[in-house]
Amino acid sequence: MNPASDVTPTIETIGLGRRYGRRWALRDCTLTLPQGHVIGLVGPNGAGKTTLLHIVAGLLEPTTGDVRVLGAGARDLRTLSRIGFVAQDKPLYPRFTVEDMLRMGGWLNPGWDRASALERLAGLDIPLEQRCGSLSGGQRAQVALAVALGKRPDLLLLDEPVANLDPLARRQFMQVLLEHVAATGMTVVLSSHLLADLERVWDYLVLMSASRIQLSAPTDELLHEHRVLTGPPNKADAIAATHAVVQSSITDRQATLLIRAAGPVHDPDWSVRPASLEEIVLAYMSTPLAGAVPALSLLGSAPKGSR
Amino acid sequence: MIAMTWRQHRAQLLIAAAVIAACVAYMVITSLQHAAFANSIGLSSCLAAKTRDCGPLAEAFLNRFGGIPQAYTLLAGLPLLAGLFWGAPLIAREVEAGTYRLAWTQSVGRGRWLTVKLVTFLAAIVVAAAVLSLTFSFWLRIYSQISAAGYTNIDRLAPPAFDLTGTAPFATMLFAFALGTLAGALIRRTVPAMAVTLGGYLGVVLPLESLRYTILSPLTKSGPFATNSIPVPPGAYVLSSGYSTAAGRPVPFSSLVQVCGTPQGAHSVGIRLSCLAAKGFHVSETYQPAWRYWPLQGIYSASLVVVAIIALSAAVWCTARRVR
Repeated sequence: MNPASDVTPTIETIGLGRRYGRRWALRDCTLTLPQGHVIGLVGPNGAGKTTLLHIVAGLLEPTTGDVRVLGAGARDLRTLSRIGFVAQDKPLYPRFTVEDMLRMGGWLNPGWDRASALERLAGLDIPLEQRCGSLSGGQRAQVALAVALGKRPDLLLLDEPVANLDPLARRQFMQVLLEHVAATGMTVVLSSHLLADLERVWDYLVLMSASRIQLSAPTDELLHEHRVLTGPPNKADAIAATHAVVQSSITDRQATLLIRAAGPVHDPDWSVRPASLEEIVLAYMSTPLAGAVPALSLLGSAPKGSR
Repeated sequence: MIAMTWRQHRAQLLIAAAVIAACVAYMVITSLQHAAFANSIGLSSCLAAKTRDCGPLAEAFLNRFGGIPQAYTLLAGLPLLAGLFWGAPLIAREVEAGTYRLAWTQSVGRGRWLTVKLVTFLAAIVVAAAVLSLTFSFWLRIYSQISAAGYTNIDRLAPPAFDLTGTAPFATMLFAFALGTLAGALIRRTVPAMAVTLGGYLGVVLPLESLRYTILSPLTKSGPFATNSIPVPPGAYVLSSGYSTAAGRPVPFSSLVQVCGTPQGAHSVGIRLSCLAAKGFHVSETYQPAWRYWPLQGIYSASLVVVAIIALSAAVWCTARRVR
């Protein structure tokens, strides 16, 4: 990677939206994702993850807004040759053999790396002469991944890569993926509707719900900034005045707040502990959107990728 | 991308090649039978001499083999299969199976992906249509010779021969393919796209079957009945016949039967030409002459090809511009 490409965001979107009839599958999506991360795109089913990934992969035209992928348009041939995309149900041609799929990779991609694709599949005992239609779910996923990685992409997009896999296949898939990431330093975006699915492989989190981006930040930054406060209900407003309250549950006796801290909380009436990633994600996902003023303000203040 | 196209579509192309090979084999075999019979009764040498009356020999040939068998009307429907099995699934199946997400995220881009496929099928259509057209013309040649000598009206200007010779097979096949491709690109589901292709093809080609003969105004020839009907020039295709009295008052065919008909068996009604001539009836034939074959082929083919090009461009545009 040359120095210039290091500062080019992997994905940059401004006001991106996509409407199907009267329903918005994605709206007001403004994101800047840095290179060199494994980015988790997390959100419930129907949150707009697939729509976003399809727009980034050039498969879908946005209704509003603009998208730049690796510094160029998503439909650019330059971009297409630099991304790898594995769609949700790992589409392969059922009548092609595994060998045919690898040949296809060579036919359609100038920078095709056949040797390493062969090596990867050989390590997994996937017979090359088998038809793709008769592969198991785990094998399908591996072949689809091998085809995507064979392009030697700078950006790999994986839509729910392990959703339908059994635990063993899931681990194997992630292992192959992470070995490749470690060797090449490529950027990966993986989507999942379950936080646990991705086994914490990501170091950057994009959280989506209700067709919008709720949060986009490096995970260590999220862990560093979010706190759970427990304390007197009458002082909750004072906290909200200085910090962004993501989620609050207030009873007569006690208030529990999950905040994105703007600084340290000095008031000794509050007991402060760091928030876990699960708590953070659940808090953002369960915040009702219409009233989510703090979450909306976070949209704009989501930190640009550093590191 | 050519290798990819071949790998992906070789089954479709090979099946088509087999179907066409079977048709060609059938036509060649029957054509050889025609030739052998025509030689054995001396029809070929008689027609070649051009001076003798070959009428009885021609009649013997036509009694033996009849006209163009019904099966060839089905053969004229063969181009439709290019629309149903090549065109309709081309884009629809990729979208339906979800493999478009694989195919269109490769380095070649979907524009070239589709262009190479279209060019490949276009080449297949050129070859298939040329083979069909040439083989059928070869099959038809004895009829054409008999027709040129004026003993039959079975020739290449009349359907189904018009559909199976010249540029018509290419034009109809390209039209069907383009229609199927566009339907698939718009509907994105194979079976509904096939249904629309079938409906669209028949909806255009069936009305054209009569329209294509009147695009150039037909000629008319009238005169009194002679003992031998009034001959239109050899190879002409008669669109309609009108009858009138000697005074010029039009009469329907049924009155001719009333006046001069002779019952000949249960199913046919014969008319004594000598009777018609004696009563002074006139006949007026509306027809296209044989020399209009190429102009009519050209107009028919060109209009279908133009529509096909528009449909293919629309399919490319739809696919390259947006999906879903």
